Amino acid sequence: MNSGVGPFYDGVAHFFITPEDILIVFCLALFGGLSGKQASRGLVLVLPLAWFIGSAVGRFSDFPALPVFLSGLGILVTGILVATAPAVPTWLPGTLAGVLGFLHGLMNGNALTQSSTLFLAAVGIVSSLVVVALITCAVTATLTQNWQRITARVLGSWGAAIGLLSLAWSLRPEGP
Amino acid sequence: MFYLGSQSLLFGHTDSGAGGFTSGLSHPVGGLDHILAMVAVGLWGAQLGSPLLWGLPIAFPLMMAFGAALGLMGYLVPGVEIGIALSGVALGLMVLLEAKPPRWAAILIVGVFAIFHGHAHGTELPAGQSGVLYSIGFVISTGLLHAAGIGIGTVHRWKQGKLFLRFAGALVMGGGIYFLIRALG
Repeated sequence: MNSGVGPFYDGVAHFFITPEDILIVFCLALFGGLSGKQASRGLVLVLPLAWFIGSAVGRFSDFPALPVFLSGLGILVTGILVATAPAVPTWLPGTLAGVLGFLHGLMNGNALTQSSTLFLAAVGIVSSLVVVALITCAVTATLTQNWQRITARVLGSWGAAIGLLSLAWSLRPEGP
Repeated sequence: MFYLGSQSLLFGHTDSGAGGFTSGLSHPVGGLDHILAMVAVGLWGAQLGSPLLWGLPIAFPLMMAFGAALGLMGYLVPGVEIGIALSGVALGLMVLLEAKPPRWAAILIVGVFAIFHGHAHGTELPAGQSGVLYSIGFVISTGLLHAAGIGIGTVHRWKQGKLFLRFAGALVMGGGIYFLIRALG
């Protein structure tokens, strides 16, 4: 993605025009928020770090391109976790964010191979996702009314449905 | 919405299409048979109250996505049009009778019919569209139709409102019968 205003903004633009990336960050942040403030703090710290490392690995190593269906699968799993809102240990949202953030970072690293200044582009991506994750986690973690938490869970079920459709889309016989 | 609807977006990853959100958004509202059933889910949820008030609108999109996934991957579901028409009849009847089955049964009824609706959407996906954006539009549109049903269903708290909902259920059932006759014809 060439925004025309420099590599940092290339990264920002890349994040905001990639719905899979926004969706996974949003679903993970909902999951973290519903799991409590401590889980949210861990998630907000781990997610950008894992994403950045994944971007670097994807760009500078010979790591093979990941299958497209992983993105839909990640959204599906996270969406189901949000919709069902199970009682989970506080480390789980952060760990899941680490794994999925790394995978999406890898995909970003592969997609950004044209960028000569990957570092700034990756910083742009990570900065953008931090903003989305922070706001979503902060809002979700402070929800106290039952209907508010249910609304978050309904959004999670929508995420799961989108993830399932994306997964099927990438696995269909004609290919993605 | 503007962002998602923009057809000139470029995508960072591997989806082949550049559009899709508006297609997905418009698809569930493109047929009266779909609209009737999805609004009826919201109406019935409003009659049943919590937790099915939100449980049904969670179950329907998930099972609809499952049905769409079957359609996308080329699996056949027999009698899709008949199933869609029957969903109008059955859900309309539930609203008309203000039926209160066990939770699992309500979710099962809604879930089974959702598969037919989803399969129809999955097999009718236009070529050259972005799967992710289509999915986002499709799920949002379905959710908003349920929300409209729930919104209308809030009149259930009043006596006349309950009658109105049952009348609406009869209308949905009538529509379902009409579509069933067409599907069988």
